[in-house]
Amino acid sequence: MTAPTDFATLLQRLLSSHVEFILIGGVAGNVHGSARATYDIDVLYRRTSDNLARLVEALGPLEPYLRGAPPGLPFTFDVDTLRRGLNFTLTTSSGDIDLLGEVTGGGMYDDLLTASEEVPLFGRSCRCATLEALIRMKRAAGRPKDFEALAELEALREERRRQ
Amino acid sequence: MKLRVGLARRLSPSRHDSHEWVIFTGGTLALMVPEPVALDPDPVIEAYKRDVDRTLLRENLKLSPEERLLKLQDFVRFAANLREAGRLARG
Repeated sequence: MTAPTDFATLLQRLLSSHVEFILIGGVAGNVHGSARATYDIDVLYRRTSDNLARLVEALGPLEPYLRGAPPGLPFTFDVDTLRRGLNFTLTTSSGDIDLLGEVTGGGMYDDLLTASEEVPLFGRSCRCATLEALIRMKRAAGRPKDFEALAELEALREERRRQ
Repeated sequence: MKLRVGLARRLSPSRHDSHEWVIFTGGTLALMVPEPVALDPDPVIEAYKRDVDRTLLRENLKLSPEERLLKLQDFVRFAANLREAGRLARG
């Protein structure tokens, strides 16, 4: 049995290691109030050398591996690997996480920073894309499979405005 | 750098960048920021929106962000248990 993603553990590890990241995707939508299920965490991380080292410190002990890849590939989760790639779809001992250096409709970490906000999670402050930014990213992606999710995010925005 | 009038050289190779640097004739460096994705109502999305269960959203909005995340966590664990039970039942 594949263990379900432990959102709290993954986020707490990133926050404890002071990784600079912005929570995006379905988990970010849930943090804002979405009711759609999602099974992995998407984070937009900053691609500075120091931050890559912090990412390795945070997630290395969870033995990240390429999700869906056959076992036994010479994949090492270290700074060099992160520097040579950009977006990584990983599975760890605490579940699935997507590390994104850049995202459609959001750009890179520094681009999205102004469209993010601090959200209190687990006694810490976690940077999360704003609901508006999540909608923009979904619209920019333009995938038919996202239509339902996009409709829900826009309905959520309306509900928040009514409150 | 000399470039012909009307031509600009892209310095950012990324197709997903939200902005890019360009050099115009005379060596002027400029930051090009594309128009943000419009958030005007989209008829397709509006049609999908009719099926959204807003009672779920209203209930979630009563919770704190952390409570919402823990609620998602509970559901994901439940779904995993259900999948495992189904797998065992199928033998």
